[in-house]
Amino acid sequence: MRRTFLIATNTLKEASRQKLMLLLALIALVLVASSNYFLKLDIGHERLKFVFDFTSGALGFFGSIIAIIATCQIVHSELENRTATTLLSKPVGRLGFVCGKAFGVFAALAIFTAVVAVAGTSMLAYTYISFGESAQKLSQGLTINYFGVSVFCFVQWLRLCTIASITTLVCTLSSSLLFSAVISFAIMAIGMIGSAIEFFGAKENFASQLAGIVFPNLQIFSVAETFAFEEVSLKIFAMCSAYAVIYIAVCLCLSAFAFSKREF
Amino acid sequence: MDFFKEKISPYLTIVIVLLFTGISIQPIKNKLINYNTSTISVESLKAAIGAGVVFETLGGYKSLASDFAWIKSYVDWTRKDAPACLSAMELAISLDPQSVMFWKDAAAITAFDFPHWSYIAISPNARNNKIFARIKARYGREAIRLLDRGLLLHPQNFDLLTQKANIAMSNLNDFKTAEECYEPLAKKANAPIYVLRRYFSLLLKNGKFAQAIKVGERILTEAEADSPLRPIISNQILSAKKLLEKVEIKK
Repeated sequence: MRRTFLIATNTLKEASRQKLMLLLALIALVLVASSNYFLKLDIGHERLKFVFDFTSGALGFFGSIIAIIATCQIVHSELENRTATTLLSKPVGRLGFVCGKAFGVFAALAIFTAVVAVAGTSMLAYTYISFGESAQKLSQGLTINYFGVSVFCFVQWLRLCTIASITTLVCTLSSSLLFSAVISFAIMAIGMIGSAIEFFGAKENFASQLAGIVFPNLQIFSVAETFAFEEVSLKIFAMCSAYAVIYIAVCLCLSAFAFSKREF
Repeated sequence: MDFFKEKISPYLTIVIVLLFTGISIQPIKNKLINYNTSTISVESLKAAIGAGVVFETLGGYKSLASDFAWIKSYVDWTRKDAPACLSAMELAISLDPQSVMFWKDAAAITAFDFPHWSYIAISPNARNNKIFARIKARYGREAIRLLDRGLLLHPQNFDLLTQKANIAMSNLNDFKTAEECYEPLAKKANAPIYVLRRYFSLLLKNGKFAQAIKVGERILTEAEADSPLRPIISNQILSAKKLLEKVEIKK
């Protein structure tokens, strides 16, 4: 357990040194911080919802990219630099190694989510204060639920952790960083828009049904968006958490299994 | 055999475990999907062309992207380019079908602006009122189809229903549809006086005098004491009562 913790700590340090991840996080943060400015461009949306959408977008769009790229870079750098071989020659189990790496990425994602959540909540509060009572009128009676916003951010973090776990599994199976990234993005796309395909007239077949069962449905996490302006449903929150935790646990166990079959 | 054991079996094991996991947590997934779409029927989602769902990868940036699409439609509007304007408006709607303004304004542009652009485009010798009425009706029907899609996502929405009624009346002379649009709005306890007034006029126009009298009496109880509307409504109620008597005698 201690060794896993040490690997996770080092992975977090490694992740914080990744320039691409820092750049993406910075862009996301700047966009969230400037959401109030972008209100000038808005046509017809509820004001508070528009500002909140920037937080949701930063976590959904940039968060997903960070989760995939960071995981791919961290796992493949270990394999390419042969540091994984050195680590595994010590009394560190495959599961401990995989979990350590994944937990490090989860911690980095938690920091990203927390920073975006604080910036987003501040912008919501600022918009509400700067527009006074009219903010609510311009938002068609929407009221901010700050606790709901934090629950939403937590659910989005779970979603990012699920993406990172799947990416870890893909990385342990492949030997190329580019291949891992492409496949991970493809799986993410299936998880995001897979259920929408039938709306375009595509007939459901065995392959689509199989994909729907094998890959997690990442769209279900967007259900938490309602928490920002409505009451938090603990039942829904618990179900989202359970769904993510089960997938994360299974993916990490399978990653350890795939890692054990890998030749160095 | 060794090849299968070394190369194929790990992948097969992973797929089987993921499949088993997927099947085991299917009930949780279904409950969450049902919760997500509990307020929106499958038909409504189809109506919005599965819209927001497709752009799910954009996350919350959908609203910003839809704004840019709408601005593009304004540029096409200034150029009086109907097909480009319509496709830009459709894109804005697809990106953010939750925005009522997009549905409402897209329908208004389709019903009230496009007919004029089409009419001007035809040869001056061929222009006449009949042709203009036909063009107006065609775009009116198109706008109503668009609003019906919006109403599936935003049922009973005040702005969309009043817009539909306006288009039905001005483009299609369809007072029955207009009455149907105002009916749910007028039935609300806090319905504004002007909505009741319009519903009252539509009922009179469609020959539903008994119903119109009831609505007229409601206007008299809800209108302010010094409202200039009172004598007009009172006179119209009297006329409606006379017409109702005539109809009953004929029967």
